[in-house]
Amino acid sequence: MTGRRIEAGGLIDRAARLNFSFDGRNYTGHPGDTLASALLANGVRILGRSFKYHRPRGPWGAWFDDPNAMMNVRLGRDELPNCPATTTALVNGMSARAVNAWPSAAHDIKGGLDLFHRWLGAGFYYKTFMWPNWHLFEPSIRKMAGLGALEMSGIEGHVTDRVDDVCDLLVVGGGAAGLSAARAAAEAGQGVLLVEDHPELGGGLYRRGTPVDGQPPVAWVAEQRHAIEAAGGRILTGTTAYGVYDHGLVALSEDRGFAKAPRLWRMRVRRAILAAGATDRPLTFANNDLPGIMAVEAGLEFLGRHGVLVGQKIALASNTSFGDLAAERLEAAGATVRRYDPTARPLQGIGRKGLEAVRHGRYRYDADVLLASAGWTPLVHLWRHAGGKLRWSDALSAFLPGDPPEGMAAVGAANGTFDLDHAVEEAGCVATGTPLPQPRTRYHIAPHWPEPGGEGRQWIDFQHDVTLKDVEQAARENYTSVEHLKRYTTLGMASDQGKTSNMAGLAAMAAIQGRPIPEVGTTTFRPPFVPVPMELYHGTNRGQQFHPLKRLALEPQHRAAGAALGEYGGWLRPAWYGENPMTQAIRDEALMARQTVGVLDASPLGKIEVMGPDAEAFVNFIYYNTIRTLKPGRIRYGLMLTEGGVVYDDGVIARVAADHFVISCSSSHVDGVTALLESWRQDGNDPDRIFVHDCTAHWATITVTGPEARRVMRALDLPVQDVPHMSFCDAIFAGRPLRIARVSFTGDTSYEMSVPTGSALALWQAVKEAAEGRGGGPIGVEALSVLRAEKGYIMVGKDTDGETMPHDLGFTGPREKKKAAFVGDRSLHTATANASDRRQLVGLAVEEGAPALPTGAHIVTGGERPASQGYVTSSYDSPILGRPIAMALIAGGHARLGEEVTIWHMDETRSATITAACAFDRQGARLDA
Amino acid sequence: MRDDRLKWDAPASDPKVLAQDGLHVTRVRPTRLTLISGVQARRASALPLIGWPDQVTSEQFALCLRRDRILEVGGPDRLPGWDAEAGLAISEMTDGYAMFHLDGDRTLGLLKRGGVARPDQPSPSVVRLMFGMDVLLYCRGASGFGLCVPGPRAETLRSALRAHLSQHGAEI
Amino acid sequence: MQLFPCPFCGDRDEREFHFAAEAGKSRPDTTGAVSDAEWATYLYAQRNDKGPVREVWVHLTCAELFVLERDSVTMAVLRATPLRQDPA
Ligand SMILES: [Zn+2]
Repeated sequence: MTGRRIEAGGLIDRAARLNFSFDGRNYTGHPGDTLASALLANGVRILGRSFKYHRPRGPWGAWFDDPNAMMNVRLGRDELPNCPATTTALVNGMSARAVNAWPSAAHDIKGGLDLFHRWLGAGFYYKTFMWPNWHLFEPSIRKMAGLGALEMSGIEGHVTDRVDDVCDLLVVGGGAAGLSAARAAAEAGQGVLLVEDHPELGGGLYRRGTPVDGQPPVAWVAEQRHAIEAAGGRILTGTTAYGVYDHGLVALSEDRGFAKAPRLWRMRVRRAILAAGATDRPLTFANNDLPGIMAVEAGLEFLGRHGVLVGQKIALASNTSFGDLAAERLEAAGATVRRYDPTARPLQGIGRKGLEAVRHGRYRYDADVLLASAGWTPLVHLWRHAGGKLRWSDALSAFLPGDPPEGMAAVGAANGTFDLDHAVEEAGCVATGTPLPQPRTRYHIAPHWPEPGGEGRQWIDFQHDVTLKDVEQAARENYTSVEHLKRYTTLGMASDQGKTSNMAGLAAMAAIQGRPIPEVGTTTFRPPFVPVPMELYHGTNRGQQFHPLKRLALEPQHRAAGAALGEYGGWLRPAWYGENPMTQAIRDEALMARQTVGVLDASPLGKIEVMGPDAEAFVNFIYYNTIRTLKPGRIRYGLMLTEGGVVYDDGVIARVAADHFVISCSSSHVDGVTALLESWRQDGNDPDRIFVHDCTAHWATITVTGPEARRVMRALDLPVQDVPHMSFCDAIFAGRPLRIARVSFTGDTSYEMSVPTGSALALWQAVKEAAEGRGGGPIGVEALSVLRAEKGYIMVGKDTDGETMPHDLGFTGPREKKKAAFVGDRSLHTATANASDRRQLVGLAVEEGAPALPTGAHIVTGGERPASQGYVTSSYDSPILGRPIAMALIAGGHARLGEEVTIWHMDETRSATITAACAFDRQGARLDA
Repeated sequence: MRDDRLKWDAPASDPKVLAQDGLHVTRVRPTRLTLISGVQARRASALPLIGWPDQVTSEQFALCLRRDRILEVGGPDRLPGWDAEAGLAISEMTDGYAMFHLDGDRTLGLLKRGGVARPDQPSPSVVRLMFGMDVLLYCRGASGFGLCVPGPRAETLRSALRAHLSQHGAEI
Repeated sequence: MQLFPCPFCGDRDEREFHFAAEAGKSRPDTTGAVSDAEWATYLYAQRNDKGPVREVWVHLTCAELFVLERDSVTMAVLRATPLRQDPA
């Protein structure tokens, strides 16, 4: 037992007791404790195991700078993995378990891995498991790796609340500098938001306990808070600014308690003041990872904030002037403190499962705790996120904020202003824009960096078990850039993202190569500054909110009719109806539509109006097909191409008047086609003479198709006499406009009827009833897919791919004859477009009695090494034909009708015969029957 | 293909989307919506032209959607098509939008969950991206807002608002 | 998350915008002869400059295309110009 709770001091409430357990043993703590501080107060030293060698570890830091004490924590029914013990506030009833350790951190059965460290150096896994194939070894290696275990049941209501907001001035950090800046700015009338990641304001003030402006820290902090709020400033505690993004967007994560998803503030700030402070960096010496070795500032933080004296015989090794103050503070709390100068002679930690003694040169001294510091490192992460530059300070042996990013300033320890009074003064000046005093510092440091070739195992990255020898090895193998060093050794890739390891790592590389530290440089600083849960990135965009679909006006009717619903091009649509198994239901519907009549909700079909004096020339340019010659009242099928000549969409165009067209593009392309039309309208045409209205949402479209379709229309007393195929007429239904279009996607006589969605229900009921009276009924999208495939009608994106041009589908006319310019025209006459081995759309017939081909199966050449000549794009059992049908894109397919080809799929081959794409009613007799 | 009907809640038909203290969301049915585009579209309506954060004070107004496009709400019956004389393209859109009224002092808090819409950042248009979709957002009185989405997105908006309220309602 | 200025609507979140093209490219007149090289340049050649760039962007919510000048390194927005002028 080394650590203990002292009688008084700290921000904890000694009157209240909190019960908790760690690795199965029960302990108590107080409100204001973290898991780590409570365990230290109970004399526990080993709080975790390292990632690779399963070395025992205690906390190095007291806040986000600790890479060692990671725990799975359960509270009631909620369990979270990988909670840093140093930042997890203690709650009554918590049960914590060290990650990466079994049965406990103190007795980990994989601890033996440490004996093999000689063979487990940097790159061990890459090199050892390369032959024959890494994937053979990966599963078992992955099983050994990883930290906490996920509780698969999840946590009820663990959903992040995401709020967009703005502020004039964001102050990051509620320590002395941040509070001073926020107060000065708020009192000067600025709209201030101050964020502090601890639950309480005050930052590092509790470590030393020195008075500010003559007041003890707690009183001074309370006064600042009051003044800031009185001046209209806002304060968020328990809130971490974890990323700075473009144009002043700062991401704030607000803690809302254990197992509650933090709130995300997307704060757009005009100006930000970075007062994030600084951390101690580790000293690099042999066995510097033993439990009991921690940062000087961590020792002071546990003392000042949590009332925990971390050891009784404390060795203190610091190369800065802050060591004196630390020693005084610890002695005053009852410890004996012995100081060591790490620059004078090599240090070594001695002990098996924790520090027992310190060797300094030739001498050995007993100690239960070693507080170490190799100097302060300003927290410049957010500065770098924002694009600020860093500069190296020889005086402070640290990277400091250099050229500022727009709208950001740094104050206090984050700016290298380590002395309290200087920091307070600087913060006030920066906040109000008054001139800064001359920079000065009482802080003194005798630089001390890792010494290559040193004895023993000297840890650089505690969690990932990267030692000085690994850095030396990386250098020998020429991974000398810090970015390569990081990825090769995983240095800085632990959950603290290099907060403890990066400086030592790059200094080690600098020393190995004999280069100055600033020349070696740092790795890139990226958000998030601290680990944040994935919930922050999705918020309520989960479940039905993750990828919400467009919904049909008639969905209630489809549900009532027993429709199975599926996603088709961003819409939730009926796939088939009724209780029969899927295959049977689809088959029955397809057959019904061929034999009597099918009714389809086709509402998602595009209804994009193009109007204006230049409308005709415009649609003629947009479409591959000639539209100019289309007469009012008539409809034409057309393809839309990309400028690369690839088929982008197919649909029909109706001409309402000389200066008025309606484009009915495919259901999934409405937004895309509208955007494409707007783009060509405004960039390349006169936008004052063409206007594009996407009216798709206003209309519901119901299609009646089949040999009985005309009789259904007559039964409803709808005009059908004057509507030949590929034309439309306007009528009135229930007092509102009705447009009847004769177009067919099934090959049978079809009527597409469009009414405002408010009238859809009445029309649907009337049509359905009339159809059912003739042995027909509703059909889903799946049956429609079968019907159109029987006719060889394409679905763009299914029967075409990113190379398919119109002539590959047999539409050769406009390519050869259209005189006017159109989108993609020139691309249809390149060497590629003229190649003889282009993949062309054909049909495939299977052998008598054989099953349908798998969609996606390849058509292959024969011989030892078959090569793909194309693939099956659509394949179905055709109920009306009583045999399977298929469409395929095959190299030179149009000239190969009748050829027998080999089909390959999942190592099995079959044969099929190339046919025309259309398998049913090739003469088109049914179209106008 | 699979049957996803259980994955998606059946669309709600109750016009009362939410009714809580300080937050009421109701679906309303405008008598007529007319989409009007043209060089002079912003001067084409006799109704007050509404940008952000202009206040709508009656049931008849024209929302400014673009440089050359407005949406008349409760306006006169117009012949759809190209009006060559006025140089206007006209389409009826009465059934194309779902219109919601948001009322109560917590409304602004709810809107902050959907995106940035600050009264101190004026804009000539009322179109924006909110709750992940294109919406028309305008002000109705001191704490009221109108929110229109394309009809097929009505359910998306309803469920988005309900998700925010059910997860975080107490804190909005 | 960037803030872009729509010349009509004003400053909006970048999610309301989409890149359309590099500015200054015009479509060859395809009713006349266009060489393969000329067409390929039109289709595929991008300047992709480092530093100040002129690009056509679209404000998706109001569908306005405009020229956006920005810095591809610092992400600073320099200027937004409408492709067209307001009606008189
Ligand atoms: Zn705009």
